[in-house]
Amino acid sequence: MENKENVGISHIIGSIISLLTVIILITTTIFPAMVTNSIITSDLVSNPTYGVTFPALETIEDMEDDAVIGIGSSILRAALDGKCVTETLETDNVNVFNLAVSGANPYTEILQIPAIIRANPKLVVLDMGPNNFWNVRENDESMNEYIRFRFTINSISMENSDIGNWTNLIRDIDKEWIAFNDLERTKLTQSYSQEAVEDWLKSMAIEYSEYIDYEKKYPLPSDPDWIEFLMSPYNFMPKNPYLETKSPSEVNAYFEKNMPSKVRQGVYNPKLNDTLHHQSYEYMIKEITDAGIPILLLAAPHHPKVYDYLSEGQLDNFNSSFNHFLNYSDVYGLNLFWETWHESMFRDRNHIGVNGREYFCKRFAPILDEMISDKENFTNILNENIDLTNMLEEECDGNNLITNLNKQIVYIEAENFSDCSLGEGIAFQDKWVFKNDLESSGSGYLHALTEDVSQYKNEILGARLDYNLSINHNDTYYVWVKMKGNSYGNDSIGLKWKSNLNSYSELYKYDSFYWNSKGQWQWEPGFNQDILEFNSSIGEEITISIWLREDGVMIDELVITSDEEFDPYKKEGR
Amino acid sequence: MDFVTTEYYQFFLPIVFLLTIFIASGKRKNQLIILLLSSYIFFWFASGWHIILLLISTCVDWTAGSKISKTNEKIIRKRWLLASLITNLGLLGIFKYLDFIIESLNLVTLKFSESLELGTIGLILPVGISFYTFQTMSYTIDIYRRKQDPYDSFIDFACYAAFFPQLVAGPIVRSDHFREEIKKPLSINSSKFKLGVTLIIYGVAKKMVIADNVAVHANLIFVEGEHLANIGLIWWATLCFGIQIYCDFSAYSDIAIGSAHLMGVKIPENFKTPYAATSPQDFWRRWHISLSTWLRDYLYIPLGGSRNGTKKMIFALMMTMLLGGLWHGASWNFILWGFVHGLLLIIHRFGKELSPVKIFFNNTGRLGILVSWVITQICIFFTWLIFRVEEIAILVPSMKTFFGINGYFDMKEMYDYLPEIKLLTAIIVFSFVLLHGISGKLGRGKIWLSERNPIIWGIICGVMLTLAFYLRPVETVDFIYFRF
Repeated sequence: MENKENVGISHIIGSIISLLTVIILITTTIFPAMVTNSIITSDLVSNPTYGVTFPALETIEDMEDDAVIGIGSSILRAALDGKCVTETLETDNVNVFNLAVSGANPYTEILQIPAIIRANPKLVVLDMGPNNFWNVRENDESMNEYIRFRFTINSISMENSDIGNWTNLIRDIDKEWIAFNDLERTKLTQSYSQEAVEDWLKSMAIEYSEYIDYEKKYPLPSDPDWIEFLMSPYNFMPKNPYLETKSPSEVNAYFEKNMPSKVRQGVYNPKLNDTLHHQSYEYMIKEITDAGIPILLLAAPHHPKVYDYLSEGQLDNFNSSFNHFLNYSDVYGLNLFWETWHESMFRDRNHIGVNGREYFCKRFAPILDEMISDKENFTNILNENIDLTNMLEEECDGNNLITNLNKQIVYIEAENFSDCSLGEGIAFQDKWVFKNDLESSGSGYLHALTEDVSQYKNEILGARLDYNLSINHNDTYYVWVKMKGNSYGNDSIGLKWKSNLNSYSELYKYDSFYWNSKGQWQWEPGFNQDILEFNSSIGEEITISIWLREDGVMIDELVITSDEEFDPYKKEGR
Repeated sequence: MDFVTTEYYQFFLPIVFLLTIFIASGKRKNQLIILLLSSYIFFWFASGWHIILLLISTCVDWTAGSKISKTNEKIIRKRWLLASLITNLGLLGIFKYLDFIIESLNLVTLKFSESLELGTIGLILPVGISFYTFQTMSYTIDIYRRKQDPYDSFIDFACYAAFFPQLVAGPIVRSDHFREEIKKPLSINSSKFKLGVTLIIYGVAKKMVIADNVAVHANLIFVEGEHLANIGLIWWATLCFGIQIYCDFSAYSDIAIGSAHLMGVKIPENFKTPYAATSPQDFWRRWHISLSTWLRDYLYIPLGGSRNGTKKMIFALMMTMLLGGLWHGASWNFILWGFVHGLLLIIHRFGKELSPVKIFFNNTGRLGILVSWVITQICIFFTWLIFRVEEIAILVPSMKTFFGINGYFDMKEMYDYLPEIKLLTAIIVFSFVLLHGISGKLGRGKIWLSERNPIIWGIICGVMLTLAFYLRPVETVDFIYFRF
């Protein structure tokens, strides 16, 4: 094998320069972009928030509005609904971002500090609970694996300018996973490049094959919902409701199973000082406050049952550590850990659920307002005695009306309910709200709120309305409801009836049909749905109960009739 | 250390290149000493104490070659030749085949009441033993046949036996060719340098992007042995393995030839687009050329294959292919692979003389070529299925399914079962088929590339290298021919 002509040394030098130029161009553009995008949008890593940090901070840096950035573990991630807080704030032009990461600990978060300082937020909310002061052991393989993973992912998307004083804290065994220069970054990027290319190919080919399974799960920085995603990540980790849907005995069993071993672990046995996490906090607090950015230390509450398993003084070191860091200039504290929150606010042992998040939002926004508007006079609210009653215990009052079924067709305005109750468990914050509306029957209608696309399906959890009826003659009665969905078409209610003699019937479902466009009231049940019917005798007291099955649903009025052929659209009996 | 480790490119190759071509420039003996020591270092890192076997083979063949050349007495010449053959084949027999022989004996005697039940030795197969023993054996055989004189210097011969680019997995270089290459002080010019670098980049990309990726698919299907009745899966796995073995082995040869080029030594090509072959005979002219010519010169012809009638030819052909199969590994599937190849060569030899066949091909032009290509490639890929699967329980159903016996086609099952990296692998496979077809038609792709201007060369080689870096699987796959 031999080529034809001889070439000069300048040709060789030119070839090598050309080769290196192409390599540098590709390794600094195409593949890093592909990997970074793939880490955010897909299953490349189990949770996209691992890859979001640096692109997010870059976005925040470029924004004109002020920012509040929350960093820390899944405890903060589950608690802080940035969008809700942003909207609840009275201060304008401040956006609250939730950049907390599942599994994070202070040590794993130090890499982002230079980027946070560059983003120049108005305030940094730093997660600081009792679970943040354990000893990092070098032989803890699962923790080492997590650290390896986080450092690798962060190294891929960070820049050389993100190398800061945190390098002094990095353990020798972790240095391999940090890119201290572009070459090392390229090597780390390579470890995900093949999967990233496959992901990209899938996204290109998804339209052409039924077999290809690809879903862009999260937005990219160029997508319109990116900012909102950074404020309120789709999945406040952990994602799905858990304890909220359990019965009291199941909740007890959960704690009996988990807490005895958990309370012996490092997360509930904080050290007083000198751990890697203490050092990491020192670094973070010092760097951020030196840059003129105040810090709010936030300790989120745990499930009330957790406290039953803790011994007296077990978390003294946490209190001491928290107080220690509060002594730093420009550092403030919001220690909610010692507050007792309602059980329904928690998804599990230490993560706030849907209800708790909403409550936290209401609670946090005024504090933030105060801090932002008058930082100089903001008082340290550590251990401040706060009455939660007003926020937790909303009442629902009925008007005790009893409707007499003295005609064959009886109309009842939805707002004339006899009794009611708020939602339970996951539906804790849901309720029926009266809305004035001249186009509705009577003076208005009832709207099932809050509208966050919750569905309770056949669980009797949603807010309830009771309509008490007095029976004047023996007959079979049928129940019609005038209702509509707020989402296009499909919102639904659940119905049951009971008498003073019997317990509740089976559950009926009335659903606004999908072809029912928004804005049109419909009488349900419609086509192919069972109508609630009951046999009753003179003197019997009947209660029709309606549950919010899908939030957003609206009801205007009910008809109770003994006419089997009744057609509500003919307005008979009006 | 081997050709896919960074140490080879970061330290070993540049250092040896600088020492040989620049530091010892013009001093032939010094250059060969450097190359010899480097080769031993390379082998030590690749195979450890097995270097002793290489030294034994080198010393014995050097001595045998000298002794044979110094005497005309037939009996003495024969004795030294035997010494060489026994030593080399003995090393092969002990380290490569002994356990296989023991296991086969145990298997055969299972049928008798008194089973032998001999324990296996469990020796680790020394890296490259099949290559360097064949290489040095050819040296003594050629001297015995008076086809060439012995080397003048032990250093030269030892360098021939141990030359690091081709030591581990070939190509099997003939001693007279190597002697010509090292006759003068080793030197290279800019063109040779560029060609050498081009070949290395080409080989690295072929190995990492193509071979290692398709290997993941072939391995899953043929190792796990699930869904073996799915025709799509078996054909896909066979196609993947056929591509893997070619790209893996030819990549090694490219890197070896490229590395040798950088040392100022030319090594003959080992492959010429084998999947463009239109007959089994054509395939063997294109596949592992250094082994097929070795087998032809030292086995097929001595067995009487080139003359002495049909029966002798059939015998020689079949024996050559059976032993060729056995050379690849101590396993029955390799013997079966050799047997099927022998059968294909015999069928082709006689089939092409049949009148209907002649008439068909004489009258069909390009269509005839296409038909012969399709038939040849189906047969070749079927033999790769045999080559790949050692486990009988997987091999037999896979072979049946390959021909559609008791098989079904389920695309969804196939898609679901294949490893996570699917589309990329599919693109790699189809790109290979396209590029191999173009290469078979046009040829000289590597030479063409090395002759391009700096910008085009830099773009193509740069893309190949970055793809090799970014698209390789997480786990590197060893070169297949290391096992042989």
